[in-house]
Amino acid sequence: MSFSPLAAVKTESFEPPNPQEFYQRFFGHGDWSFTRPMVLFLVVGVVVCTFLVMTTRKAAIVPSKGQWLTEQVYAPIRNGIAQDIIGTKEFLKYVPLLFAVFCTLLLSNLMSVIPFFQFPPTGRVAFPIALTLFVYVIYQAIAFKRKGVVGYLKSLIPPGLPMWIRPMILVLEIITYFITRPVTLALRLFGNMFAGHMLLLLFITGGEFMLLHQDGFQYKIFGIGSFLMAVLMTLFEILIEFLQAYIFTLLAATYIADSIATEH
Amino acid sequence: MSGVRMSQQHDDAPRPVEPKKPTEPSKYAQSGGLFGTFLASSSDWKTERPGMTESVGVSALSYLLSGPVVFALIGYGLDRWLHTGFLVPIGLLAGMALSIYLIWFRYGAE
Repeated sequence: MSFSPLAAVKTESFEPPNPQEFYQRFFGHGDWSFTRPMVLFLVVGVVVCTFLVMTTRKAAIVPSKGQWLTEQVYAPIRNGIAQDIIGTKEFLKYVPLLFAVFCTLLLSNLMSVIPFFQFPPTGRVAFPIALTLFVYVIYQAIAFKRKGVVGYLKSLIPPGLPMWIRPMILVLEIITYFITRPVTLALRLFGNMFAGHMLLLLFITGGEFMLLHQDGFQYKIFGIGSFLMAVLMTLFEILIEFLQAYIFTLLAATYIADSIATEH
Repeated sequence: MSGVRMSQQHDDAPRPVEPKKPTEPSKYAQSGGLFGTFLASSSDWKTERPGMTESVGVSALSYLLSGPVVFALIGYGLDRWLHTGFLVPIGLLAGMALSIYLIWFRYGAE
């Protein structure tokens, strides 16, 4: 129970937030425990599904408020990401995937700042990995199906390279396409969410500690400053959460487009 | 023009809707909505396709990561095999050079 604020009162020493606080078990043991991010992710799933079904069930040309809101998110994903990147010919097939990924990610990122939830499931590395695996399997399957194994490997080398450098570039491209891309896709999301939430925790718990558990005028000033920083970082965090959901969807679309493209 | 129009109108009369200009659809219409405009505004530096510059940046970054790592690992393997010690730095440098060359070849050459 070293994480509770009461511990800080007794010992009068500040315990900075640490990564262990991201592991919050509700019940169960070890690998089979049921944790807080799991609950939040379930909430995200239910809310996203319910909201989308409710707002699009009675879709009308003159939209209701809910439909309007859904369209405000749907349109940039459909037109700005899917159509522009995958191309007008086949983008429609991938819009549901991209839209679902975007909505899920956006809400689970925003869980970091929504009162009472206040924890981003994507700040636990398993969630970005699972979402990335989903996208990874899809774009690799498309590429292998469209081009075949040899065709896929051939398509990795940009045309016009000198002959002697091609084997080395092929190695580089294989690693990039099969390892670096999915790893960076998952870690970028995880890192941003984890670090952002950690920063908020630090400013809030630090501000609370200095304001309430320390004597001395200077600590009060620093405590208030820390809280102001927390407010500022919360606003910044909302921006980052939007941006990360967008980037993830955008890159998923780029990878799918790469798999579809017959040549570069 | 507008002064004349204003003076002819009563205060409580509905204001005339501005006629749409017969130009090509705005970026707002193309990208579809407030959110889309906000997102697209940062990215039309080189191409009109929103998001393309970001994805090129990210691809370039993944090449920059893969190059040195892969060839340093190959160098390490060769070092272990041949009992030498100079192939890791050579692999590292060669990987960097290759990835920079590949980025230049793919995205730099117009």
